[in-house]
Amino acid sequence: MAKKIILSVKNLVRTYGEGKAKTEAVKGISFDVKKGEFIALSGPSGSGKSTTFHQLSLLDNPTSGIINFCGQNIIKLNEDDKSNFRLKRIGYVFQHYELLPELTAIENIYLPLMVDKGITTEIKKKAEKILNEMGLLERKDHYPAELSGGEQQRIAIARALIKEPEMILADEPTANLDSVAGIKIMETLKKLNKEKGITIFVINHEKAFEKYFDRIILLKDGKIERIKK
Amino acid sequence: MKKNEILTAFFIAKKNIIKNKNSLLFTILIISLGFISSIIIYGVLQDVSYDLQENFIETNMGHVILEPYKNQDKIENVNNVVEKIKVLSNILGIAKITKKSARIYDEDENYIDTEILVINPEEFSEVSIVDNIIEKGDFVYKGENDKILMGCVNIESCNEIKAFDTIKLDVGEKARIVPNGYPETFLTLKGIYDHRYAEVERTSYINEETAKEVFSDYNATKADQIIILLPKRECTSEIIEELSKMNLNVEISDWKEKSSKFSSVVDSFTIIGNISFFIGILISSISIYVILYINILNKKTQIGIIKAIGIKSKIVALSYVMLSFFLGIIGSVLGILLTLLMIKYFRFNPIQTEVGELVPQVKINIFIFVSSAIIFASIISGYIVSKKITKQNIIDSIFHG
Repeated sequence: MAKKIILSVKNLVRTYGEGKAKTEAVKGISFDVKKGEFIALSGPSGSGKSTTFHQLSLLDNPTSGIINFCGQNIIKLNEDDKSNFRLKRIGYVFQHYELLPELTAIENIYLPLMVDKGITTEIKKKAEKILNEMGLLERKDHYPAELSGGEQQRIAIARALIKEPEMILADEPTANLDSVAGIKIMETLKKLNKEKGITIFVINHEKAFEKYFDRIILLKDGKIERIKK
Repeated sequence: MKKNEILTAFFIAKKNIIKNKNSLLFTILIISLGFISSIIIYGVLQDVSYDLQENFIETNMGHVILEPYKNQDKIENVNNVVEKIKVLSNILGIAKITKKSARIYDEDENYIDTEILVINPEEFSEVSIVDNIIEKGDFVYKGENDKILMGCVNIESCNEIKAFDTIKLDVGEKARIVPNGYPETFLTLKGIYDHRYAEVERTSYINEETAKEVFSDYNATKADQIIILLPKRECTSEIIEELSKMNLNVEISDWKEKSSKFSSVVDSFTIIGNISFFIGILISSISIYVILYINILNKKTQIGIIKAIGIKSKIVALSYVMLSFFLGIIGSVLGILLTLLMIKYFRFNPIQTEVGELVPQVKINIFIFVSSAIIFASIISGYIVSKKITKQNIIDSIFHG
């Protein structure tokens, strides 16, 4: 049975500046992502990978195009609904982790749940469970500055995961890690994809990790060059 | 906004406070200094105004002053009037006064012009502190003749300011008195009184017995003024109301009206005090805005991250309003404590001025007003700044923060 399409992108364009200073970072790309897929966006530096991810996660507003998430064009949502979309339906993992330095590891993880549930034992337990799965339970009360890069990235994944999102977007999650830590992160993501069925979309430029993905979308100069299976 | 959203904002604000103690302590210190700068100059100038009035009240003006109507020369049957007033409660003392003017010469023919008040020493001691501030010699008592009490400012050996004319005269020595409209006579300097405010020292005092000899038409049943001393200024209007009902056939004034000779000075100090007060609050508000702006600007990346994980801008803005509110409150409390400490210090080490020993005076309502203004300025600043920053693009906030 064919898998349902969770994300459908049509003619997505993102330009910056005006007149002579106008730069087209993404030039009308279209592609679909199926539910439960483990997919990568790849391409050389400056090809528009991160810009595409910022549009998909609504961190930025596209210049034109359509992004259908589960059949709904999310570009048209108002600001509050866009926040809700980021809060409940997707998890975003940044290349540089982007944890809040004022919060401990566990607080960083359960912060997104607080908006709906307050600070309850339930969300703390849930955060502890995820930390345990990530092998970081003993580091729960450490601040980001006290954790290694790999640990911070796993906390960032846990923060995305606690919301039980339909999709996780990870922007080069292994870029700042050594190969051992990088493999650990990829294994973690693959496990989440396999065991929990979460659709995972990763920006990747490392050949060694290509084996993990169901498909790889190759971008070049803001356009899709080809899609590798 | 939902309860959990408010709780989330509170949580973010609380964590911000806990993890940024040093920079927030600095902010609190700046806010408290703003508080002090708004209040302290105002307080000092308030005390100047208060002291100027108090100087005259405590020496020869009292809180309530009775005088003849304009078509009358003197208050007639003054002793009867005094007896009638005595029935009122809440009065510390009543004294009748006759005012004359004279020129007083020393042996070298140097002279000073002075106002001479004819007093009943016993009555006068109840309304004035003059008998308690004798620098040399003694007060003029009842039953003594040919004695005069003069202020330090008129006596060369006593006057350190040298801002007024003086004569060379010592206690026990005779001075030539030339009263305005009466023949000259000689009086012995009985004492010299020394008040912190030189202006009040320009008045000289003689008793009724001496007055009978110097001023041939002196009549003890008449007076130019009856002055009344009350326990505190605030009782004045109440006593005036009661006096008005007594049909005393006199004009009744309070200390405020009679302060007209220096009211322009008081008004000037009040205006300067008010201006400095409002400029202080304005500067404090601007400082708070700038500091909070820098503070929140430094959190731009964090604000971007919080928004990126899906927390609404209004929750982030509320957390910074809460943070600003907290800073405003703690800054104000610290400001109040530091101001009280300074006032306490000045109580033991007053600022010495000619007007008197100045101790900043700050009433509770001023503390409340300034605290409210500072807290309000903090909240508004926090709101404007956080609104401005949360409106920015998330990517710009995170990657260009």
